[in-house]
Amino acid sequence: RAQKASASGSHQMVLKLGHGLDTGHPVHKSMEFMKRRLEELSGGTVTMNIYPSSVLGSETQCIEQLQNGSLTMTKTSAAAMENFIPSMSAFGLPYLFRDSEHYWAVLNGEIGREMLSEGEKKFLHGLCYYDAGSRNFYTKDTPIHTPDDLKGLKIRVMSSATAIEMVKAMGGAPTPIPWGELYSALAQGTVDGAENNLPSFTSNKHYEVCKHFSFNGHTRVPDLLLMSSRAWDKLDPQVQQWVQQAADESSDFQRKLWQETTTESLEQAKAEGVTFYDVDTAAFASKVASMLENIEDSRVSELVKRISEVE
Amino acid sequence: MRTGLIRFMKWMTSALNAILIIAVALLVIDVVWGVFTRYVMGEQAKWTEELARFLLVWVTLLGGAVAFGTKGHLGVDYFVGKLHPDARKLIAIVVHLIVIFFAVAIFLYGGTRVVFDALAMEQTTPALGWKMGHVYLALPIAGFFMVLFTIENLIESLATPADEMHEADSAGELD
Amino acid sequence: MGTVALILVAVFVLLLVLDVPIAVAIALATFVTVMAEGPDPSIVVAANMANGVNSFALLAIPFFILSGHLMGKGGMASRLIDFAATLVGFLPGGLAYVNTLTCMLFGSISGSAAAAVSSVGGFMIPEMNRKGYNREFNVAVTTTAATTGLLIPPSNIMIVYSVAAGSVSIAAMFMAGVIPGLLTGLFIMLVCGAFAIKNNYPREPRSSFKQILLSFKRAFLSLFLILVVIGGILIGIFTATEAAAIAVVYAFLLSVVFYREIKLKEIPDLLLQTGITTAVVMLLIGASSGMSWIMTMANIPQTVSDALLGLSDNPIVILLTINVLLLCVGTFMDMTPAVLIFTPIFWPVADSLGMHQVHFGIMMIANLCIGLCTPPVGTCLFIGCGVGKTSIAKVTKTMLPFFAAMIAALMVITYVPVVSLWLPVQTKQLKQADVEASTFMRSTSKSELESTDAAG
Ligand code: NA
Ligand code: NA
Repeated sequence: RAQKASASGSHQMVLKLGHGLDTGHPVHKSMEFMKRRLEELSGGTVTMNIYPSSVLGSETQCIEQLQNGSLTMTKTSAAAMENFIPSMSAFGLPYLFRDSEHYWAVLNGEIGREMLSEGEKKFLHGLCYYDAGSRNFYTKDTPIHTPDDLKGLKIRVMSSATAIEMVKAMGGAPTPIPWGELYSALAQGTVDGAENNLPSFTSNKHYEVCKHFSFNGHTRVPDLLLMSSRAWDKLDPQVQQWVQQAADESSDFQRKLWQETTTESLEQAKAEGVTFYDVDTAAFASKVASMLENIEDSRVSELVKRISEVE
Repeated sequence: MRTGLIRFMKWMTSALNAILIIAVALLVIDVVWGVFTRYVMGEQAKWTEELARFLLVWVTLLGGAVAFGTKGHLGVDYFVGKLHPDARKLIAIVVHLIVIFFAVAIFLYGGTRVVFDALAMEQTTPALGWKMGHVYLALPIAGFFMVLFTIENLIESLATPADEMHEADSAGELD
Repeated sequence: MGTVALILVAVFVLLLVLDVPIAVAIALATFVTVMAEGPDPSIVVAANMANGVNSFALLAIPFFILSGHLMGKGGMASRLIDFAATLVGFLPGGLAYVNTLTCMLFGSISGSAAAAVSSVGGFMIPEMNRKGYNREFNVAVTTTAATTGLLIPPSNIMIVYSVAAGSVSIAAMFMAGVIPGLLTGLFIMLVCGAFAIKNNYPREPRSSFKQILLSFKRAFLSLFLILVVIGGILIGIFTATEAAAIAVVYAFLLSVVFYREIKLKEIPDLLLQTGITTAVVMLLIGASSGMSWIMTMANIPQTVSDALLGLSDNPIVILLTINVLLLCVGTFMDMTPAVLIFTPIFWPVADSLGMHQVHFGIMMIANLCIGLCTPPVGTCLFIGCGVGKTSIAKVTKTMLPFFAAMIAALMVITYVPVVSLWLPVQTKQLKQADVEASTFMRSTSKSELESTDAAG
């Protein structure tokens, strides 16, 4: 390899980043932004190779690869992190955040920083958060105005214990189906609806089948950009500072991009004939209030309490 | 001593076969149960999908070991088939040694590392809440049987005269 | 980057030539390559072995293997043959058509071509020999016709492709294979017709409508499985994997309880055979998952893609090149490893030509079906020659016109996308907009596209 052979020893360092989103996704674009910034900051001595669309494995597999040192960086949902760091399950609880401002105040504040370093013992070094919006119900035939409308409806959920419990508590029948099979499952009526953020709803063309979208905003589960501690600890402090700065800037960049994408998605879905409903979220929240009150894990209940106290 | 060894091998093989038969039967029952709970009980059992995937991992790794015993794995015997019987015998022995290296380096050593990593990292599974390290345990167990069966094949190859060695026509039934 | 690819290919080919099991060859080639790249190779390969098969979609494979075993032993083949005979037996060379049609029917019930060759061939080849048909011809018909079962759903190789390609919908692949499978069967029947006329092969007595109904009634419960599997997926009662599990239950009830051609005590052995066959395939998938990881890390698919795209500006030429390369691969390599290894390598090329991922999968499978029948390594050919008691050398010359028919079908499948993509859109397994966004062959042969569209 030519780069390694250079006499000065100052060959270009390549950080390898694998994730599961496609190249049109705001998160991928923000990673490309981070790559450019990192090259600028380091004067071209540090760069990144980004591998999108799960070509290096699922979220769980990428996290394992960070732990055993075969991959440098990955993006993961806090939901997938639960299986490695139990306290992450706090972020998956319904109506934990009051709104988008509260959400970012927490993530950019003391709790957010604390959670980024929560995985340090397990070789997972958190760099920054990306916005994954709020998740909402959308259905094929009957609109969801109140929790009662969920009664008897099969709602596709991620295969996460928290998500299953939540839909059940609200009165629906949670049905875990792989994301790739969801479009045809909706089209054929295997499930009556699903729940996700607006950009995912639109980019996967679920509007072709589901014409009812309710802004009930049950969860806001952030994405995290992680680096293998094995790789991080080997970087000299100057490089660490460049990587952190580039990551922070990409987080701000992504937040703006996410807002724009959400607005565009809304317009597009409306043009496709989707009806959007503003609903009384308090009615939904009251159904799942017990999930926030009866938490077994003391660390999670402590986090929930502190998050509710953030202004 | 020799017969004791043969009896031990026979016992190990039938135990492994029994595990495989039960695992395949459980697979069918598990997935059918998933459909049943969704339609008859109105709500899908949340663990059926995850259990099915883990059973498949175990069937793959343990069944893969059995297939080394029955010489069931697909290979390309075209080139070796054209050689002189003596050369074929030599190559067969080399191949057994290669397979033993594969089983030791990847399944026994690598698999054990994967198990200990997953246990040390306290990784759990979403629906069943199992320790992921226990699921990965199939790797070193399969590795152990692969080594055992391949040593048996190796001894057999060494004992067989070159001109009596035949290549098994391994036809995968998938295609 | 170049050296990494070189190490990978060199180790792999060396081990393959030595007749090391392919899964081991893939895993060890990956092992050596990962070692050259840095991370601990033992962990990387071991983790991929387990995680590569940790997939709900892949579960359909053992189920279709098991239901195939149950159906094959459970007296289904003879019922389907009787039914096909009443339909097409009266034509000149009638038994050749009966054979082809039965293979297609059998294929649409089981996920495997090997099962079709042994089950259908076991009945049909001796019968055709007795009626004076040429032995090599009989083997050639069965061997090639059986491969249509890999295009007609359900099909295990399509599940393997769906997993290798990322997240392609299995239900969409199933629907996409129907017309290409029927088309290939039709082309094979045309060759049968030519042979029948040339050799003056006999006709079977024409069946009355009552006889047709009677044979349909006998075959009905077997044919009903098609409805359970495909209908169940299409109506949305269950996913492909669940449909496969239901097929097992159905086949079990049919062959053990209803037809009583399988005894309960035979079941453990069927389960064991299923477990081992499954493991052979899955170990390949696990090993390939590691190989695809290191190939991606070393940007090998991109390098191959750039090289192929540099060959020509013409999509027709590039696709022809890919098809020729795959045909060469198919002569030596079995279908499953070929799909697993070459999907990540060739897909970026097809993608940049605007091909739809489902269409590309169907093309690849149709291509590798030919390889199953060609010497020196061809699973269907081996079984066909075994069942028909003839040698590969004798049968190869008779196979040539059949290869021509399969290649002709392959060309239509490759260059006329609607043949594959029309049905999945109609059955809502693919989004209309996605299919319209795939531009391959749309600008170059618009008239051809429209005429097929009208015909379909
Ligand atoms: Na089939
Ligand atoms: Na071949």
